[in-house]
Amino acid sequence: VSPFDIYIQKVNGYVEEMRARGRQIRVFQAPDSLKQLREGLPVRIGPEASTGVILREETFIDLGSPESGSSAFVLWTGKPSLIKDGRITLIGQDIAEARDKNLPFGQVFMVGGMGLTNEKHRAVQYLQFAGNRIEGYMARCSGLNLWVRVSKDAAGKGVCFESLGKALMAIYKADSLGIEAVQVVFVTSSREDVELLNDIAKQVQNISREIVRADWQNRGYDVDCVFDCRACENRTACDDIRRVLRRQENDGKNESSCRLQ
Amino acid sequence: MEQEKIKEGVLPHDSEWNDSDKVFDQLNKDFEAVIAKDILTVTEAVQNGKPLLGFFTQGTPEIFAALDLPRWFAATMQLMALRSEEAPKIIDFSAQLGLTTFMCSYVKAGVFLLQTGSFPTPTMLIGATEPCDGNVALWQMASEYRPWANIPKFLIDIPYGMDKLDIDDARVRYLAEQIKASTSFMEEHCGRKMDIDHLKEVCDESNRARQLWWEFQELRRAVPTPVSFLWGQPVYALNQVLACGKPETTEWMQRLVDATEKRVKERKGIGGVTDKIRLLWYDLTPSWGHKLFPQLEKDFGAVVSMEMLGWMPPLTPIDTSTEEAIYESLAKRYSIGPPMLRQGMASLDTYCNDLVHIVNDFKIDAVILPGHVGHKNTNAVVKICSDVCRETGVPSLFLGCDVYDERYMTANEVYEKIGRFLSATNFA
Repeated sequence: VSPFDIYIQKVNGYVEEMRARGRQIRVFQAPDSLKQLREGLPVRIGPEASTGVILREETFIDLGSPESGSSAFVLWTGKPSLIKDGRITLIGQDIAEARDKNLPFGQVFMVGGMGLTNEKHRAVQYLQFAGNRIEGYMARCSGLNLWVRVSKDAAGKGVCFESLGKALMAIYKADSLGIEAVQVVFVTSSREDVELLNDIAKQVQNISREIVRADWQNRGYDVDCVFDCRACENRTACDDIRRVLRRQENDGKNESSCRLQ
Repeated sequence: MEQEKIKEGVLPHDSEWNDSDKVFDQLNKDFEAVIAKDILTVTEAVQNGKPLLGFFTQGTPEIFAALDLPRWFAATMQLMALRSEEAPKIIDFSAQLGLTTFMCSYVKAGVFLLQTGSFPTPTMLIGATEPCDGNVALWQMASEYRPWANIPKFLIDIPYGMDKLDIDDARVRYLAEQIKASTSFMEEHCGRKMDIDHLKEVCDESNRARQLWWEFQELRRAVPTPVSFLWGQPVYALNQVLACGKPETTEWMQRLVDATEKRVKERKGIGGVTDKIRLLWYDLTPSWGHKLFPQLEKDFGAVVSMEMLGWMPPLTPIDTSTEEAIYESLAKRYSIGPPMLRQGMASLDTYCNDLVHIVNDFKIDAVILPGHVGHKNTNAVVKICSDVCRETGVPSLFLGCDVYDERYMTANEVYEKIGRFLSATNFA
């Protein structure tokens, strides 16, 4: 069982909850083959496709700025059958419907592959910034936040969440990580809805940290030391120093400061 | 400290702006004016016996801006001292006191300024347990400095692991309480009450300026690199040190963003430089950088696209909806933002993730790990950083220099090392 399997169910549950709350939900089905995914995309994809910085005046839409709210994460599983391959779910407005707006943004990628294990976790996480390999699309932030700009040019060519989903799926599948199935959920409906997604994101983040910590530990590094004084093996040394300092203060003989002055 | 000497190294060294870039010259001049005004404010406070805050930390400039409290930053004065011609003498002073020579030169400058009575006498002092350890030791020395024995002091305690803020509200609340307590401390000793509405205004203004800071950073991702990396420093100084929450800063930032945007649109790089190699200098900028970087630009087309002080981590706006929200978001910004605090008090994974993000976002070709002698935390993780660079597909070079003391490793030696590295990695 992959550590994120239960969260794949939670995200699917989140979509159902949004449906129950009456949110506008659109579902698109992308083809499963890489070739078909690439065909018909309105913009170029790949390392050379990025048009670089998208200036304010070139921006059609801003998604997930700190003011609007953002949540983004990737879930992976070793059981591709848990993933509804090719499904793109959009909760809220599409790109063309929100010109010049600054919308909240949620993006969850769920990927499956028989060979996906903890060892590939970091590489899979970095894939969520693959947006920088799409023409007219600029990913701007990190962590749990994803702040994105879509250019007027790209919007003019017909970029929408369906094509964006396809483009990102193509990038994911083309990567050498062994991803066989990809499902994506985009949320633009409201800050409240994005924050609800963030509740899942925080739990996912906790697991992610543990995987990363264990990965570093396997390489021989402890990246996340315990900073609690009570747990420190050198606590007695610090206690001794404090005792000496206290005694010096009481005696009015702080020799070190006398010498320095 | 003479102001002319201060400017060297602080301001962009490029004098090759073409005619269309007169606006950058003006920005330089306006920044100098802010420094001059700041020095004047401190001088007046000292001369007239007004409340004066000595600040041994980087955090929460919005608070004393809202209190309109004159203050000096130890960090700025230390930096100025190290960029003066007196730097070697200043650095060597601490050894005469018997302090370790392996201490950061920046902290040594603090020791000099303190022990020679060069810091203006404050009426209150605020410090924080922020990196590096030497800095904390400097605070301790200041606390025990006899002439300041009767000056009230407040130490902000910063918890480690602040990169877990998103999942640990207790740490945010703890730091927020510390910041609030430091505000009460300032109120008590300056005789002014904090006007929350004014604090809100300052924070709103600070948010606007930070938004522009972020825009500026995004523009620096452009190829070719539109401006010298040194512009990150006045931006940091204005927003974090000199003039936080002031409309003039927002206006200055707007002009900088507009001018940079114009250069990006025109696909202009740094004047006279063919931008061939984009470097990340993953440490603070050396005080002797003006001897190194122009040469690298000229000979190899190697441009520093980002460095540690100029890089702004994810934008964290201050929520001004309630007083509590203000303090909590100030705590978040404080812990996530300032250089060294982010690198020294978060997990190594954050340090490495930042490296990967900068490499990807700024299309970095090669990473320079300066390994400043005073930065024990970064020196301890050189091997890991090199591994991460290799996994990310960029070559890295470890130097092991002192970014404030050229005698340790000269700019020429660094130039040669980087030159050999660029040749060995087929960039040159």
